[in-house]
Amino acid sequence: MIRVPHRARRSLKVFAVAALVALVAGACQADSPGIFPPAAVTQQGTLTQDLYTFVFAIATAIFILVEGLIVWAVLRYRRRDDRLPVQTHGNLIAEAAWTVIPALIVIALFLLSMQAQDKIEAKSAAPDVVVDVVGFQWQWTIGYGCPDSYESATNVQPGQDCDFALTGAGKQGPDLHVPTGQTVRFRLHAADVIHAFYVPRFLYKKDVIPGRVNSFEVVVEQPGTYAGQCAELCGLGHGEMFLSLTAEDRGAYDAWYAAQVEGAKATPAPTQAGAYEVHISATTAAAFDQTEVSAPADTPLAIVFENRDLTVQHNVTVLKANPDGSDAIGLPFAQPGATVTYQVPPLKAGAYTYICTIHPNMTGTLAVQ
Amino acid sequence: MATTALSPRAGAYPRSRVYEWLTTTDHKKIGIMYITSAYIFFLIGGLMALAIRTELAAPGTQFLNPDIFNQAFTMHGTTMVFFFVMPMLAGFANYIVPLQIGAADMAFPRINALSFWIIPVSALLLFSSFGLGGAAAGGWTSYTPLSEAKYAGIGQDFWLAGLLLNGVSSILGAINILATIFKLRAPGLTMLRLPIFVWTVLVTSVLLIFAVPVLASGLVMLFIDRNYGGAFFDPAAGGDTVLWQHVFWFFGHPEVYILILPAFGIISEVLPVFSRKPLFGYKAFVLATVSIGVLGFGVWAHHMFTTGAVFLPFFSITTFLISVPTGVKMFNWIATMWRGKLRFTTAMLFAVGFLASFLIGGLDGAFSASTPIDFALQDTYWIVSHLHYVLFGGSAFGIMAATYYWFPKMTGRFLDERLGKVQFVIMFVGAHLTFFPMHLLGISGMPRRIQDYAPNVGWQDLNLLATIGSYLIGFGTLVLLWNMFVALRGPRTAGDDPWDANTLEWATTSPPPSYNFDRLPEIRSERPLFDLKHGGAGHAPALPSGEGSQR
Ligand SMILES: [Cu+2]
Ligand SMILES: [Cu+2]
Repeated sequence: MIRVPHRARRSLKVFAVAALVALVAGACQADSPGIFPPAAVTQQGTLTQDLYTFVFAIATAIFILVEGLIVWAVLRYRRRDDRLPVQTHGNLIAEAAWTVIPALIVIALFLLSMQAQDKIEAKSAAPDVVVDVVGFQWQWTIGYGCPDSYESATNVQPGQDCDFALTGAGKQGPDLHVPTGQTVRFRLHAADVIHAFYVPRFLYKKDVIPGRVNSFEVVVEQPGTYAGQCAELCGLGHGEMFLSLTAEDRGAYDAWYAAQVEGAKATPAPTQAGAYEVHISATTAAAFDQTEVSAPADTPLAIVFENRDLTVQHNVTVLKANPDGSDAIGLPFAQPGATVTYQVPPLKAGAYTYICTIHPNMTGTLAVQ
Repeated sequence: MATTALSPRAGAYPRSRVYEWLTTTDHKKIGIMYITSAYIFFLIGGLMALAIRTELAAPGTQFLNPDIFNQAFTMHGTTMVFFFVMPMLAGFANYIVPLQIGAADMAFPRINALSFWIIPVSALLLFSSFGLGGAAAGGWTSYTPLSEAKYAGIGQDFWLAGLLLNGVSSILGAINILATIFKLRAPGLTMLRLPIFVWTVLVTSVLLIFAVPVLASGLVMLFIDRNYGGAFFDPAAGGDTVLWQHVFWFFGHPEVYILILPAFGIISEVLPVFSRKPLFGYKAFVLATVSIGVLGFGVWAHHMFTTGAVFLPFFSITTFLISVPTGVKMFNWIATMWRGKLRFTTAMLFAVGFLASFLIGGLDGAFSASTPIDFALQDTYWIVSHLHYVLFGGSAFGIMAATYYWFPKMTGRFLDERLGKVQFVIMFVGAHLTFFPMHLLGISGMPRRIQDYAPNVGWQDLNLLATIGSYLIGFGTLVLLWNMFVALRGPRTAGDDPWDANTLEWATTSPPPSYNFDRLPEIRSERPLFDLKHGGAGHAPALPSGEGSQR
């Protein structure tokens, strides 16, 4: 009974369907984004993954049913004559069915979601490792071994009061380590605006909000290094607020931890004898106070950086200043109000650019004569 | 009420046409001005979307630096929501509602003119920020503290002032629509005989009256924070920054229904006419519309699941439940087509395209209502995909259907059906090509609102595909503009009732005279014109309409 549809229209339809099929097929190839999330690496993420698969199956069934009905109606009930079709105003049984059945389905999905949510959001009394994450425009500082007061203290600045703290230098951000198979609690603090701590392979994110401390726990089961990225719009550098997370067994983690503590304790090398002092300061995140400074050639430099900006940390990185051509990254970052001295190896004559690693819009020129 | 001219000759003052349009209080002219300006904003917002897609077509910065990029997506969202979809639907409501209820004009014609003329003024205020230090750049949601004075420039103040003014227009319009529907219905047109489009506009107006003042209060609070030392949203001074999100989304989620319910109404007019059947389950449809309106006020915090500051189970269950009345509508629409005599005009194609596309946006809702899945998907491109399936595959397709359906009534001329079908195919393919890949990008972890992405994360191909799709949508829009341009220069061949339709707007001339009707047919059901033409055929006059009677 189905009349052959108009040729041109049919070929367009075939084209549209083919395009969609190609799209989905292309998307299903391994290692490229697909209709399923990437494999979860945490216990909690696995629950989310199973839930996703279940909801996806139901949604797909409904999708096929409803789109099938639409396509059937479109093909089958094309107008062929001008006689009036039967004027159906409704059908109580049918209408009750498509009210009650979907209602039962969503209530079931709700109950399953709550069951998973309770496990995913559960907090243990004594987690094995606590990591404090501070988001600021536009980087992360990660504190390890920070005091218990961080559980509820807002506006924290991990530094001397923690075992050690890592701040992302350069685009790749900090690399935080966690042990596998153990409960890790993340406590999230914001220094300025809202950010979101998001590791896609966790299938989880949580907002990092000024004025409150959010926290969540995971048990990472799969060792490896995973990318993370800020997920809440936080201004100009939002797209470059990266971090990476390395999960390794407890032994390797402990060794890494000890090395970090050692590095934090090490007193900074004393200013090289005869170093030439360059003074730079910053009052806002818009620019350095000095955009042009000069120094003698072939002399070790000591950049004395005073961070007068009371809102956020900065540093001074001299681009391509190391003998191997890499950037002399100023570490550690100068906390608000702090002064830090950075050592720079002797430079050949020429013009060098210095920036703040966190705010690449802050630039200046170092003229070496 | 407006003084109604008794004969078409009575108002023939020797005035210029420009003056007449600038000073008109005729709901039809105001409606056309709403629709025209909304299409202009669609072009502006669309160009911004194309700029965004061009930047994202490949990794690296090619076209927009992060500063301009952030302004572009902020203004794209703001323009499309507040200056395209809302005024467009207000325009169709303005033109069609008085006609569908057999009234001569809106209840308050001069307030009607005021609410229209506020729109270009508020737009001027908003867009002038581009030339005065940069537009707002905190997203259309303008979350604090990023939108506070410390982090956002003067563009944010223009944004606040522009939206506040825009909100005044919405509230005035909503009150006017409600008064019109409650007070000016023709004799015999009971509430349960109202066309579904009128019902959806009615519920939308109620939503506007409850939701927009809440947004206005948020806008004023933020303005005080920024300019007069307030601290409503500043945690350092004892405020609460999450409060902004509560206020914004208490408006923002009903807003989603404000943007989609009238489109539901349009689809519910188009499908029955081109299926030659009444809308299946009229009363269930009204009930579903009302319950969406009520439930719509209880779901706002599903935008805030990852804040850790809301009670998850409550907002999860309400969000799941609101899909039930929406599902009822979907099945009612399909049942309307079932065993009908379908005629595939462009309006009908867009209506069917709406069903096919909106379904995806609706099914997405089951994912984001599930809190654990939302933790994974929130703030990724998956959300961008979901909201565009609802607002483009839903609202915009509905607007296209309305444009093709009512253009003959408004102008007396047909839009070309062949060009229309070309436009439909281009836009349908373009929309899915643009928005479907975004699902996949989001699932694999691409956050929204980023200006760049690394070349080694596998997001390149899908982004390129989305960009190609967006160009197709742009091209489809050009086809529509060309179609309108050609049609408006052609002869008036449409006649009073070109689609063999059911409702009262087709019982008068195209375009209607300034006083709308010479005489009205007797109204015995929600399809008075159908009854007139078919003598109540297929409809037992003794029964109230939509009684679940099957013949
Ligand atoms: Cu961010
Ligand atoms: Cu800086």
